[in-house]
Amino acid sequence: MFELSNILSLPVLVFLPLVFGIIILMPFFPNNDIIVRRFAKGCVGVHLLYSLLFWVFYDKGFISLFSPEWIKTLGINFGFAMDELSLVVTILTTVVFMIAAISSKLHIRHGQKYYYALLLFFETTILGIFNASDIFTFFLFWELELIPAYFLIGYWGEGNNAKKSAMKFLLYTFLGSLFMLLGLIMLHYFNFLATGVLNGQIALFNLDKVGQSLQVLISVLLLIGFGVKLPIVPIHTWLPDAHTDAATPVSMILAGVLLKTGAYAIIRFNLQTLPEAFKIVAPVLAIFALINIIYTAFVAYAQTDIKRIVAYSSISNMGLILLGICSMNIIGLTGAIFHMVGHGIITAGLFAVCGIVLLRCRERDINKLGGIAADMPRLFGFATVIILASIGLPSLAGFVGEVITIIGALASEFSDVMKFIALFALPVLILSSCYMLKFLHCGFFGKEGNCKPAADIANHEFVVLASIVVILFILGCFPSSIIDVIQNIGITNGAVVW
Amino acid sequence: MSEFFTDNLIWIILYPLWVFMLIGTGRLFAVRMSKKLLTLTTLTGSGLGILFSAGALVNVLLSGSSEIVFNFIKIQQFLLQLGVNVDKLSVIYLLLLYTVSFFIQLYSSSYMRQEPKYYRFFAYLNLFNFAMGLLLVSPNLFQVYIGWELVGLVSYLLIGFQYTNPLKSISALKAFIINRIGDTAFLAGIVCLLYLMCTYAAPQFVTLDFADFNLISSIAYAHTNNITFIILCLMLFAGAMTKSAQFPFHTWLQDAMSAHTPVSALIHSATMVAAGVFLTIRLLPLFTMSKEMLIFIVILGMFTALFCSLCAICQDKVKSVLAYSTSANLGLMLAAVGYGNIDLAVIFLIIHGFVKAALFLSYGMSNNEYSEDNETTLPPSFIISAFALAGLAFAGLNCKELFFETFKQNTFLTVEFLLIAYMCAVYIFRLCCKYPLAKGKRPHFREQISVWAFLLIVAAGTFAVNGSQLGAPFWAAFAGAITAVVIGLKQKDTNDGCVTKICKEGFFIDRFYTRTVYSIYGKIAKLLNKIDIAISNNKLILIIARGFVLAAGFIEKHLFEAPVKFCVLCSKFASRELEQAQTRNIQTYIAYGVLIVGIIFTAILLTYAFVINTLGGIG
Repeated sequence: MFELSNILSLPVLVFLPLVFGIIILMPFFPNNDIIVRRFAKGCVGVHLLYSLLFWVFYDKGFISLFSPEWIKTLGINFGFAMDELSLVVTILTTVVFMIAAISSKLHIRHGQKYYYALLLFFETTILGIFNASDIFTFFLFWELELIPAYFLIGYWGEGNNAKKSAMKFLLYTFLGSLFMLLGLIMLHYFNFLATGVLNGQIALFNLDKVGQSLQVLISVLLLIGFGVKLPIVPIHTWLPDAHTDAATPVSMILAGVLLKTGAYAIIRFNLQTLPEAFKIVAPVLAIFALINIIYTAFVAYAQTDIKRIVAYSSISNMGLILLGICSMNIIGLTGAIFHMVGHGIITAGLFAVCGIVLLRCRERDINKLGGIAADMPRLFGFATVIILASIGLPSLAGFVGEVITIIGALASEFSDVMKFIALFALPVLILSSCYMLKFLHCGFFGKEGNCKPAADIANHEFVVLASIVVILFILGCFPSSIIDVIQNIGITNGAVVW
Repeated sequence: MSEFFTDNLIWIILYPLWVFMLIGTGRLFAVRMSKKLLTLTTLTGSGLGILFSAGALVNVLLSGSSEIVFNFIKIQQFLLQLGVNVDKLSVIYLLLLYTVSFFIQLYSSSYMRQEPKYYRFFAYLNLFNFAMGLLLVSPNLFQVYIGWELVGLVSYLLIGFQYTNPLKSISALKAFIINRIGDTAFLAGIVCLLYLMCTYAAPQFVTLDFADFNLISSIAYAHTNNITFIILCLMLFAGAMTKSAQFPFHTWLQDAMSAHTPVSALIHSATMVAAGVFLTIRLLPLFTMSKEMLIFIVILGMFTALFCSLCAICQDKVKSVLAYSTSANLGLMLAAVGYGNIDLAVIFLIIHGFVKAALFLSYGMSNNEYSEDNETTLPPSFIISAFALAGLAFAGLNCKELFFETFKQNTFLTVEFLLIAYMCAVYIFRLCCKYPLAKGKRPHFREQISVWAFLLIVAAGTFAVNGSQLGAPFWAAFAGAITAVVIGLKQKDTNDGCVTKICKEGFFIDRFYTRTVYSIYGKIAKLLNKIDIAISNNKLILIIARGFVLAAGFIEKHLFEAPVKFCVLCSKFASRELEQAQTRNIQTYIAYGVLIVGIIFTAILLTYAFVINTLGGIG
């Protein structure tokens, strides 16, 4: 009997890229760069189609839990599970990896075999984070993800400081994850003390009987780990360096997907698992979110490197996502998740544009660029649409996320702080248009600068940019395609709903 | 029969979007592009628009307004909708939009014929028609915002149309940012209103439907204190202020004049800038709740009218004068709305739209930006339109009389209005005297027909609008015209006085924005960037790591003195082995990475398992 549930298997979804990556690294695999590249793109494409099957056939309780026992003495399983949230970010991951794999063509000149194998390994680790059902599975993938990320940033980087930036990224994340590990172990231990059950499944944690201060402590410890990834302002400094020095496709993945693992983890652990503690933490966290939003928007304006502008803009947008999560109601959460998807695609697009400019002009300094529009009208058209999406123009993806997030934050009922923060976060619309249009005007408008591009965008770049623009339009004009899926995500313990 | 027009109005609104996408994507796939076909497709849209909105107007007059809505965003009970709302105001405004659009597109097809980016220009015109249509037929405040942003975008794209010109691109940027400030305030107002509805009202009010706006206003008024309510109103009104180029934000309209003349006629005088008046009329139930708000609207409108008229008198460029005049007249409209006379505001909006469009188009007829001839001349149609604008002839006269009637009770406003009427005549006739009449040029047929069509409509308006006595405004305008002629005959290149210079610079408001505000903003950004670099450079992580190393060293030195030799031996052995491992091969590095993470992870887990089991045994 043919059954879909036999085909749609979570371990296959997670480990398929790894298998492909190992095949690429095998000795029998040809060393020809073109074959490697095409094979890798094919693999990512197949995987994208496979993940889309999950989107089409998703049904609550349909995708069965896969959780063989792992460490029996602790009640830990090697488990995967998928809910609506996982589903949405999984699709985002596969789409962004597809886009990044296509745009790698001209950016990666050496060591293609290892590059593509690592890219596929990276995809496995990120999907592992998004689909883990068990805290230790989650932690395993969280740490494993550092390995491909470190090498992808450090070895194929564009700047001279790539290795240093990669090390900075590694140190920050690792230090954060130490706190996070402590938090996870405390979570597991106190859950055991409270309920008497050795349990590792995220969905089954119940800390109602544990004292509130202890819950807050766990919540904060976890937040330090997640906050490095998100990033929250005082610990954000790895991000501009890493994003600037990484190769363009890697930057696309870092900004498009890697940052979202932080937001995802905050939703999973702080919001859904420890809601009582989060009610205390959230107002403080929202202030950090406001600092993220406004402060980095100002800093972005002072940058002269185009990739740094985009990097800071992504910190600003992640602040908005954090604000949505802190609102602790379904509207804010929906807005945050929508903005995760929208912003993931937008930054991927922005980095793609930066990469094309960099390839053609060999220049990232905004003051030395200029007049690209006259020479590359097609790139100009795409860049305009993507930049307009990033400043939140209606009918493109950015607008919906920003507006719903702010409405959600305003409607949160547990704290008045949130209302003020929501209103003070609104000027980001002005600030973002200032720095993004500065990018557009200095880079593209005006008379010819030093840069003399030889040709307009190539075919594969056209495919990348066009698919991004199409996705942005679809998300912006038909937001219900995603919102209908994610509006059923539960906020546990009877959170505020209108 | 007439329901047909109302029901299918949505397709007419969507049609320009289709044309826009056709032009936008068609260039990638099309085998052949024909300018003629493109123009014809565009004109069909506007022509059908005129037909359908006229039909819909008949239907609205016969059987009342109708509404179609779709869900845009629905999160449990929270709902945002889009739709088509056909009522008197929206249909009349649509009729204006499509009529002006039709003739200006016809005009542009001749005016822009030498433009290499002709297709792009027409794509933007189509996008504008769509966005403006979306704004006008919106059944709720949320859709107004969407249309609002989109028309702002088209305005930006058309001002910066010649992006190789740095001056024009900066103008576009300035116009966009100033509009964006107003838009953000507007959005803040919408969001606050949404919040009030969500918290205090029944779920059906969450959509902010205009049909329920009376109830929405009273709910909002009931649940806020007076100051909060006025702030809410001000935030919503700020959107209207920026789009209609009212006092502190009027500078962007000057920047907008660097767009092509047809664009100035269509967007920056006739249709888009009047959207602020449209919005104020829609929000009037809310503003009526607070008397202070209405007074504020009237005072702001009259002040802008006076201020911009004063600035207009001292300008030399024709387009600058016309732009200031647009701000001034929009101020009059807002004042009329604030005074409660909505009919007058709408009538004046339509008449002013046609007159201004005629003025711009006739200016463009003899001063084409693509011709080599640089001398500014004015064709006869400009002077005829000037009479209408000043209120000396045609429907302009009737409108001015109606204004006079409206403000009759209030002496202060009457005097101010007469002053404005006087100044209006002064600045427009000053231009007529300053620049010579165009001679020997034969403008293109399509350009002629558009200008005369507008003038014909304005002339026909004389009979449609009541109140054509020769009252005080006429004589004020007459005096203004005579003053202008007398000054114009006397003046011969005199040096500008101090006052004239200040007026010419628009009281330095624009300079204040571009120099002071801009530099403060840049300085804040640079300061924060310095802070950020400082945070980035501090070696916190390194210090912590170093601390760990030192601690480890301390422990080793003092606690493990004895086995230190063993350690040395071990490390020597390890270093010899590791030297071989350092092959600079990524593959091996990755393998080590995986191995190390695996080992650490397993070690931690095993320790933890041991601890738990021990505790479990105790428990």
